[in-house]
Amino acid sequence: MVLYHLSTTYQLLYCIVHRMARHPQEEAGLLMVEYIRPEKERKEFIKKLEETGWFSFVRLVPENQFKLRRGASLNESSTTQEIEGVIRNVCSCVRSWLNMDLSSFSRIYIGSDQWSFGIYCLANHIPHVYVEDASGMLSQRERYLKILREISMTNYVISQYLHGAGTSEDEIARLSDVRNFINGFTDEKAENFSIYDALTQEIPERVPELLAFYGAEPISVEEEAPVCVFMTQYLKSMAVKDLDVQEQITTMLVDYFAEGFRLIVKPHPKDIWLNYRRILPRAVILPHNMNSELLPFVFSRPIDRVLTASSTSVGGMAPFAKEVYQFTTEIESFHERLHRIYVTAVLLKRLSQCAGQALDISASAINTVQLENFLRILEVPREKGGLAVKVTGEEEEFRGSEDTIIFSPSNAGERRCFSVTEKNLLEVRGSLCPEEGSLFSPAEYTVYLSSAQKKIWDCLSSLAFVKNLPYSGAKLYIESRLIIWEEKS
Amino acid sequence: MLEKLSVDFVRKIFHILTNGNAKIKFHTICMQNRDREKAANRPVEFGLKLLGYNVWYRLPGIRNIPVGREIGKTYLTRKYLRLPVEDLSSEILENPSVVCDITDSLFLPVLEKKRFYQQVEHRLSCPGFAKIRFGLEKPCMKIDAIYKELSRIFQKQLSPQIELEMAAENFMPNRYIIRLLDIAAYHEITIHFVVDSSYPKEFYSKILKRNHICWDTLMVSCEEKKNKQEIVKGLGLEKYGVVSADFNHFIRPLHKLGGRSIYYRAPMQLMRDVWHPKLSEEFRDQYDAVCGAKVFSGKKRPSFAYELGYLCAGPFLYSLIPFLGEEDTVYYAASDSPFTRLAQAGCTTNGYIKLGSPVINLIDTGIDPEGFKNFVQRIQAHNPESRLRIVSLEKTAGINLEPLSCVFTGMDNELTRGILDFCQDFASCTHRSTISVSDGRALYTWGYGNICKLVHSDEGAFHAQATAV
Repeated sequence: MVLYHLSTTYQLLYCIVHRMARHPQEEAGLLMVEYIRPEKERKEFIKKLEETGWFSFVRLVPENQFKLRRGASLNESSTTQEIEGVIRNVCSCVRSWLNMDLSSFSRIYIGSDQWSFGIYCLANHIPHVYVEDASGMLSQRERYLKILREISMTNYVISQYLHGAGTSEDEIARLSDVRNFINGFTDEKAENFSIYDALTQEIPERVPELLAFYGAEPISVEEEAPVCVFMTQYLKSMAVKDLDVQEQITTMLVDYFAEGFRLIVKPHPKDIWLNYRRILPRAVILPHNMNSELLPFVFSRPIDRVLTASSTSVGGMAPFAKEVYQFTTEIESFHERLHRIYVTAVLLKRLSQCAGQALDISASAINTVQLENFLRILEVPREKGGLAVKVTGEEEEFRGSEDTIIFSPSNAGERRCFSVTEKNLLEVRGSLCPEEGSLFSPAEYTVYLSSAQKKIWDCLSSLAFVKNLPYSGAKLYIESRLIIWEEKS
Repeated sequence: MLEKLSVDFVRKIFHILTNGNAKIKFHTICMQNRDREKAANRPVEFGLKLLGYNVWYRLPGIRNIPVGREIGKTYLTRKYLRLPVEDLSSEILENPSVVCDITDSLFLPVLEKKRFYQQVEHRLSCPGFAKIRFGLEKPCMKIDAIYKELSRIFQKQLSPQIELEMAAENFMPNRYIIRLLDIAAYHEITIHFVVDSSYPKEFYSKILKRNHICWDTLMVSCEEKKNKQEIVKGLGLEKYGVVSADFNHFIRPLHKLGGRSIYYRAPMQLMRDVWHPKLSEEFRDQYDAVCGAKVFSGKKRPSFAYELGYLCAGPFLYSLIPFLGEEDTVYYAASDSPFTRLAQAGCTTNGYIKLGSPVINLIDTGIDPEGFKNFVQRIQAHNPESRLRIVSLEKTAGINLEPLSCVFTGMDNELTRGILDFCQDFASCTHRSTISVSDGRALYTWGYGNICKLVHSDEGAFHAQATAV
């Protein structure tokens, strides 16, 4: 018999599929942190899960009750003695509640080992398989710990003390979706398991059963219009916990990356606070409680584009989508910088048109993922050996360069004062003009181009157009002009 | 011990100890928010504190003394810690309907009634208008009827149009409550707005639409001919939440009738509940309204550094700018410093610029005396035709500005952000009202000690302060 412990809706689907694919002949037990569902839904949810017959038993770990008995809450300055005291109390709570012999399980899978059952296993050196929290999250340890710290400081402190969260010696393997690891990450204990691969290759016959459990209805997608699925995120796991900012990020991304697409919104299961019906009135809003990993099995055809700010669940959709647009977590803290990167990308496109050749772009001190996404969406021609252009966020590098170079300042400063001794420049200014009621404020995003290629100046200096951002309730006016020293005076 | 008591019993006691009056309700919730696990971890201490609040905030006279709450000296955000709106939303989602009374919660006035009517009087050029208009304010009387009466008294035709336009501008939308109601709308909770007002329904529906607020019904006392409490009674709701800043005349009576109370203490009231330095009366009202709405509405949980920037340093810098001249003014400050946005003037430490004006104001921000000397020489060299007028910011202010150097050097920190936000918010909410240097200086002086402490502590500690609530 195997035992699964989990705390997130992603882990639940992951463990169900894993149990079906890898332990079809064995019995399996399931422990879930009670917070996985709101209090009033718990009973019915357990009943429904039990009725499937996938697990021999399903139990909710009463974390709230344990919290009352574990003693004082901890913080980063807590002493070893205090931490060990709390661990002792937690273990004693788990021991008396669990009432089972863990050695009788052939394998124990633990997701979210910062909760009481995980603490108990780590503290007692019980060998187990670690289950990552979200697709590819094992490779984003820093981000994961940050989220953990914000959700529960006490659990975070204990996790650090016991070397949990995917770093324990007691872990015999780390179950994870290796395909979604960030570039360059490796882990010798990583054991690959992907929901999509398992459902398409190992147990395709179990898909209808799973869809029925989640109440996932087939979604018919017309052939005519290209479809973009926007994957949302849980506010509490984002860097800036402000619904206004989350709304701004959502509308910006949709305005820039889903223009002309039929939009389908897949809210994160816990993203219940942003009113997508109001924000994106023409979009289809999918139910919250269905995991995004099941989406490939409900659409009538592959979808054209997947878009997200930085949701890890995009990995579940990636194999099923023609193209994926995702960003680094920087977008959560500095989302308005995206406008400047857009202005930069527009300038690059114009530069390519004016020069009549593809560009060979290199970048430094700038968010390359954002730039790359805009270059793709604007279809900026690029090739090795094309017109060499450097894009930099450093003023010093810009001032010191004799080549074709674009300066896209990383901070929100206003126009720079360049000295008389400096060469002629092209200034491209994006003026964000919000309508009444927009969450955005008026702002200016200026980038500068310097180039020895005089023949392109006239063509570049006539750049002027308006980017409409309807969901953001704003317009971005972009115009260029040559800054010749005499003009500044 | 706590887990041995019945949950219902604990809840009942807790309810009694947290609902005595508006102050008890607000401050006990803030205490809980400061340490969500306190009740579980230290139940005795928590219980005693609840009792203490119940005694203190019931004693006449004493309860109004803002002990431990001083602008610039106390970290007020921590005292006024509301729940994040997404957490508060669980309360509004408990019932199928919600009623909200709009004023002091959903929309926050910049000017209070009396001062607002004075502004209208000024616009109408009608001496004595404010006093009479205030006297005629009755929630069941329509604005047209009020103006008919005013026209009769002043013997001239007066239209309510100007007042309505000014009233719409006088409201600051409260993003915290807007979000709360937006969450409710998303979950298909029926939203009823009721308001005691002589303004027509269209007035409110226009400002609600402008802020993308969804609602189901909107009722105004002057049209319904009954007050907001009676309007709610007439709705015949069985299960509903009540969102309001009016504890005595809305929350409490409706709670007795079965409504689930979600008390929102008005941000302006929170500012009134603190010690201020001596400020001019007119400025103080606007200052309290803007600072309350922007810092203590619940939308932000700013750090102490931000709070000091907003409440103390921001008003001071704002008060100085008009004295420095806007045209042909160059500040000796980094070109990418946040001050560029605030001063709306050239900021540079690079003297190789040509300005072409006959008189150039050069503002010495005091960040680098040696560098400023060279800067002046370079400017003069490149602008030989111009006369340079050098103004020392510190001399103009008459107080040490060294702790504020980050604003001019381009260092991005919480103090600077607070300063900039204040200047932007105050300018936009008050239509660029000015602040006297004496008011600005009084606020800066009150926060000076803590600003110095924060700025001069090591960088790590400064940033720790910046994030800790």
